[in-house]
Amino acid sequence: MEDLSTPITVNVAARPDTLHILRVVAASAAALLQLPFDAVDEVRIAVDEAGILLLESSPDAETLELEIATSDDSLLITIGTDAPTAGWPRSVDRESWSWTVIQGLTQNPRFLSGDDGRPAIRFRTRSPMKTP
Amino acid sequence: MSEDDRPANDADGAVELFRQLPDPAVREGLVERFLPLARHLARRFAGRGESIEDLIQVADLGLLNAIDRFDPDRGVQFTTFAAVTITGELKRHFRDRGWSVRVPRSLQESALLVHRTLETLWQDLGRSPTIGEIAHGADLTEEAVIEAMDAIQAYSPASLDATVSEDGTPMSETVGHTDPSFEVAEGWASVAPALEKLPDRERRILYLRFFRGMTQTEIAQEIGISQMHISRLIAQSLERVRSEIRGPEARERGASEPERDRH
Repeated sequence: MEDLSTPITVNVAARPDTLHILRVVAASAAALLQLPFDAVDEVRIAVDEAGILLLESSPDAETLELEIATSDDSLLITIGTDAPTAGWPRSVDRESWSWTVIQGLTQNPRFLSGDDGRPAIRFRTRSPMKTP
Repeated sequence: MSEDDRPANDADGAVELFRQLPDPAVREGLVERFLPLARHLARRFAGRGESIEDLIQVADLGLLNAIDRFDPDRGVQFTTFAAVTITGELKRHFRDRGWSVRVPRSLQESALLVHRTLETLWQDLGRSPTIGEIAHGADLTEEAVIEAMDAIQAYSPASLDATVSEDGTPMSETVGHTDPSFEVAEGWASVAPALEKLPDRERRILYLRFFRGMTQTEIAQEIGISQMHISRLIAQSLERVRSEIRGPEARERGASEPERDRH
């Protein structure tokens, strides 16, 4: 199995039309880990939803950052913005459709808030298949 | 009325103009004023195999429809209503034109190849294949397989459904006031009306995936259709729910900023 000894970090402009870049990067990392197709598929969806949620909740953001690290035998994915966001996560974030989807598709999803108030979402992918 | 005095649902100051309709000059003024919004939304759908000129034409027609259908007494800001209407027209355009023009031909071919290979491998292996296995089976690079996945699913809630106003102000998710400890259940409760509109099979698939925690492969075996089909139905169902809840959310928020600096 491949290992991401150095985490992958990608920064893109905080716009909806850059989310496909994050989707492809996350899917590529999941492929390295030999996750099955359906798990890769759902990583893409979860990354998309996290990006949407952050864009909606952090409208002053200029940059979206995706960080991918290996954790045991799954991916630990963190997506955040560069704009301090007061009150993150608000009830509107916790009750959003995006968060509902993320919770359904990932393991241990969490809202993170940096010391400087920058919002992020972190989750773990499903464990990979035991074979091939 | 100054901008500061306007109610939240008239932040774009359009309500007074709508009350002057059907004055043709006023209508023309509305078109000119919100044309940048239509053009912006059209550009968001670029790169999907349709010319930007066609997209702009569709978006412009969507704007005209929005102007004709807008009810200033509904308490919704016109910018919000127009964004939803125009995005709907653009999506319908892609749906109507179908697959052949939606995806560039080379990508379409590799997407079909990936689709077929996935089905075959899924049958042969009895499990979901890895990207590497699909790439090997389809004689494509892994990068090409991943690129094709976007084409197969066309799942992009951000680019297709996120109705962000011209100045980038997004519309928010559903507002609710519930105990966070019930956030999973409440998240679904808030979209119950949208779920009700899904066909029984799609609703069952979402239930099995999200509440029973079954994998796509397990659901495929349970329902008796291919995993690729399950994958697509999940993506489409999530998108449909999102589309359904956009309207109420937009009405609830109803106050995205107007595009003042575009003229």
